[in-house]
Amino acid sequence: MTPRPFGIASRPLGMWLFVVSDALTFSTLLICYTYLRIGNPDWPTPFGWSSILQASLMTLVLVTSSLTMALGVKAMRDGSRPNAARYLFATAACGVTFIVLHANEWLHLIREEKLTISASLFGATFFTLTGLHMAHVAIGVIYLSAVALRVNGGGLNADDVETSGLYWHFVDLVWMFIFPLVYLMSVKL
Amino acid sequence: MTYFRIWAALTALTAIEVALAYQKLGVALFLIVLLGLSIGKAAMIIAWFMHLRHAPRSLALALFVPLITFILCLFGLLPDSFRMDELRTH
Repeated sequence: MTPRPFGIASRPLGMWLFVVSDALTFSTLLICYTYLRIGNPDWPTPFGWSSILQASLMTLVLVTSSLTMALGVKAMRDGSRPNAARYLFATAACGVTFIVLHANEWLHLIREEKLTISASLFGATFFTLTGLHMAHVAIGVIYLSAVALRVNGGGLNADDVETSGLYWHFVDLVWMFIFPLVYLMSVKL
Repeated sequence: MTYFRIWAALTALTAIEVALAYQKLGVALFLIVLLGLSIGKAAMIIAWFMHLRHAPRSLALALFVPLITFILCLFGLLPDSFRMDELRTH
């Protein structure tokens, strides 16, 4: 048997390496955003109560999706493919819900607050950061749907499902920093 | 089940963050509190949902020592942002 580096299968290891490299990108963007936010006392605070409520709901949806993802990985490890596929589809559905809520939030900011990516430093940093995250969620939805279909059809193994889970939990983890640093630091009081 | 407890803890910590946003804390204090809570939430996701607590310690060390070192280097720049307004020529 081929020895496994760090004692785990090669696919989850590859995903861990991707996750860490992507974490470098998001940490840089988040710290740059925070630097600019603190360094500008007149930084816009466009997030009223309805925006915060919606962003909180988006957070709840993502946290719930991580729960269904973890349950999907466990179901696959326990050998229950139908349950694993159901949990994976539920996770993808949460991802779609997140995208719809986020797109709605973007439309509100564009229409009501006249905020665009070229309107201000805040607009440029806000849309870059949240847009990159939303792209990750959209890719995750496609990825998880494909994995769920394959699992339902009898393909893939538990390591493959765990690998997709690592990606999805990372997307959730990044939002745990975007929500407080971008939304809560710019609440309209 | 542990997963449900982690979900509840993440939801509760998010609710605390939202409540604190309306408490008019100073920017520096609020930032420190938010970062502390977010790091706690991230640690829970990594340890339980991503199962790193069951992985060999060598994997955690190989992945997170360079990442945390990099992030700490970036944090070294952050104190400058608190005096950026004073540095402007206006």
